[in-house]
Amino acid sequence: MRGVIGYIPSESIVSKLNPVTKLLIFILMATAAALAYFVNLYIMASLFLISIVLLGVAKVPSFWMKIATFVFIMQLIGTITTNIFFPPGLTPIVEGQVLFRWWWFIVTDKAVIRILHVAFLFFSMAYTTLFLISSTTQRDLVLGLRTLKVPYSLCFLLTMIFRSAGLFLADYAIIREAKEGRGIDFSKGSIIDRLKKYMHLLGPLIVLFVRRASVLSASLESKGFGAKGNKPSQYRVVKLKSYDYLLIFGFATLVALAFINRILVYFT
Amino acid sequence: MASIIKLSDVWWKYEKDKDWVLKGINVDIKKGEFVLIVGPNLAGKTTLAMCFNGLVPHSYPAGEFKGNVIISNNIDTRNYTVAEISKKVGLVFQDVETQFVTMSVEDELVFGPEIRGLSREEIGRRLKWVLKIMRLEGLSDKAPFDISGGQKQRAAIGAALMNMPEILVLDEPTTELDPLGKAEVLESIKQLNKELGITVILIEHLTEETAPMADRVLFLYDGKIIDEGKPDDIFQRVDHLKSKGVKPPQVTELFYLLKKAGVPLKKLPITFDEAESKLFELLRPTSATFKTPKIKTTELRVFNQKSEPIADLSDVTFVYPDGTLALQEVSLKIFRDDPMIGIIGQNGSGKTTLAKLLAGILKPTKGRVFLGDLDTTKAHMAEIGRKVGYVFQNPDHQISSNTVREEVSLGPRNLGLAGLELERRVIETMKDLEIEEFAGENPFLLPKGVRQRIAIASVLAMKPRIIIVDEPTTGQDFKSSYTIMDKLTQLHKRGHKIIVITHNMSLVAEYCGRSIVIDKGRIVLDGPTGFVFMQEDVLKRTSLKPPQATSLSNILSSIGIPAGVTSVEKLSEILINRIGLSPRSYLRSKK
Repeated sequence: MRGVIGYIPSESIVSKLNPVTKLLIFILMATAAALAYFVNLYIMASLFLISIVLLGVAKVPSFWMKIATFVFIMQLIGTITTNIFFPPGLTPIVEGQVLFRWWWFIVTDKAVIRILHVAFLFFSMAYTTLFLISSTTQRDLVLGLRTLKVPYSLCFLLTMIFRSAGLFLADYAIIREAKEGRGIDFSKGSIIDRLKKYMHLLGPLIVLFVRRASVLSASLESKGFGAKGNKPSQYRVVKLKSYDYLLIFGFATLVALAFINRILVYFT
Repeated sequence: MASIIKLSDVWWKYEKDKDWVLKGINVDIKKGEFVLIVGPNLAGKTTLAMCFNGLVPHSYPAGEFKGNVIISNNIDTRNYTVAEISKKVGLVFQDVETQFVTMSVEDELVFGPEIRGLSREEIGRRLKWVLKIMRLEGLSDKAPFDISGGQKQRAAIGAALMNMPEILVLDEPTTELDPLGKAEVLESIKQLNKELGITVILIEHLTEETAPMADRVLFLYDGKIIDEGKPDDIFQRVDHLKSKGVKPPQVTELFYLLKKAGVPLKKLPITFDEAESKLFELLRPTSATFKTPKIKTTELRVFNQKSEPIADLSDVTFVYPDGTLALQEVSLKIFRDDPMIGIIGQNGSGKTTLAKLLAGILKPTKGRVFLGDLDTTKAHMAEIGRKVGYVFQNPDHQISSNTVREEVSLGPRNLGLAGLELERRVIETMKDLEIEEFAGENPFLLPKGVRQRIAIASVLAMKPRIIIVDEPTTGQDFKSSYTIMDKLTQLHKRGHKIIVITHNMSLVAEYCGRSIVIDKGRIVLDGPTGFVFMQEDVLKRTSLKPPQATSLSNILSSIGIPAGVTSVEKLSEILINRIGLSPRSYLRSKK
């Protein structure tokens, strides 16, 4: 089992980018979105378009995109419903100019803008996350965080999560096979029946987790984990190249624009 | 030589345990010494290993510790943390997977020095050195799932070495490895001791490979050191070792039987080379008068079964979802009158994939698998479960119920059994595997040997015609391994077809009449075990090696001894006959 999140080996330019750059792109995109959300629709639309470009350059398989898009369309349907669907008993929130009214649906210009903001935020962040995790190995993600001076304990925790999750998923697959071999069919029965069948997997998963945790902690101590008085050093360092700086500058400019725009909106 | 680690009257008891696990251990290990610790399961070997680096008592604050463990004459382990002691003592565990805590070989190696805050330059220097001596060059960026078990274990040893310890303690480091991985790891350990002078304390069940490497052997039994000395001396006491659950090298056992039969021998050899030259010495003078006993014909003929196949794989190819080609156009028939079958091969050769295809857990990408007239691609798992049962390597992957009784009844209940019939089936199965005394107990809390038998019982209760057992003896001492294999033989005699996947060549030779060798997803050898183990060239190409007794018989075939003899007892009978001992002395040796 390769791990909990999916790095997809590819020959794209993005997979060769410095992990620090990719992490910064993610952080700067999130910051720009936070600044422009419900403030500037043009910036939000730009972020959405940039995220699509990032996905395209990263050559993320369409299967992943379909899953991410499906999940966020489901969420978006919820947002649309709460903004334009007002059945009897629910007080309609009518803001701005009514563009369209039919049955229990009331569509206003402000509701449309709100929905577009939500949609752009959802999709741009989903696609940027997908860009980051599919083009960066888990090891590089941690390296990027360490380079960005995130505390060692947090980076180490993340490593442990990645490593344990990989082992956990591998155990899950074997335990499930073992149960299927004894006649348990996980695809049949009512939801309650299926849940009961999955409960059979919990016992061995917990036991293995506990047994592993004890070996893991002994192994960590034996390697010197817990030594006091020293600040952990970092052996592997990554150097940014000119195109890394260029990209970081580009995204930082976007954040600056969003920030200036927000200040201007605040004062006007 | 100066003492580097000294244990004086060490006693240890885990919290809630009534009995002491270590009972007054006194050991004085010298700088640069190679110490081998042998002993049966539950003798206290792992606990003793943890004493050397302070995990005992520091990681178990509620336990009770008495005595002293002194490192380098001045470090009392009770007064230093494990992290501090790790600069002096490196500890490597049996579990190759879990002790790999990071996401790449390089990260794993630099972990310790980074934690200590060493400079990049110093870490780089050490890394280069460790990559070279542990033969890990080119693997720095590999993730744990991309390297073999042997490489992972070498990385674990390398991680300990990065702290520049003076002492390396290795707790059964080769248990989970295939023959190639075992050889690689042992070779590296030997090199560290001989070339770099690192003190090595090795805990192992494998005495054939490790006895010749050690300067001293400690025999731990029931928390006490009951014997210690040079390997040459310790392994002379064959009966004593075997009665206490330690298997001496096969060549030593062989010469022990010869000596008992009256062959004049001063000392029993402990290495293969010694045994080989001694046998040529013994056999040459009588070569004109020997009578070679006939080996049973079943041992040398190539299989040509006439009974109907109960399982039939034809042109099966299997590709995992990530694109790994695991099996390539494999055809195999399992017959009703087959003896017990052993499937052998390196890690990743395709053994488990083949077995899972037979058990219907995996469906072939190409080709067909038939169990009688049942096509596994179309059948429901419950139907397949009546024909084939699969016992997984780690019993903890299989056990899920709160009591042993519930665990054994899970499979037959899924087949629709209920009431008295179910109860009868469960009791009968528990009796077969001798686990009825644990019926009401929580299986997770029982020892691994018992858990392994519970896992077999839970499959046996479904009464499948074929039972596939994956690595049933991993991590078990010799007595527990033989107990499990004896149980499987009984089941085989009662009509279940037993297929064993294992890295233990001696067990395959002794218990399996048919062996299948898999290499890179293809069957490269299939036939009677004696015949398969005669093909040493093919085995070598697949990184396998016959057991010592079989190898000796293969070599001695140049002077008329039959090749492919699969057990020490059979070979000793042949040799005794050949040497020309009187029937009386031979009978005395059998006693």
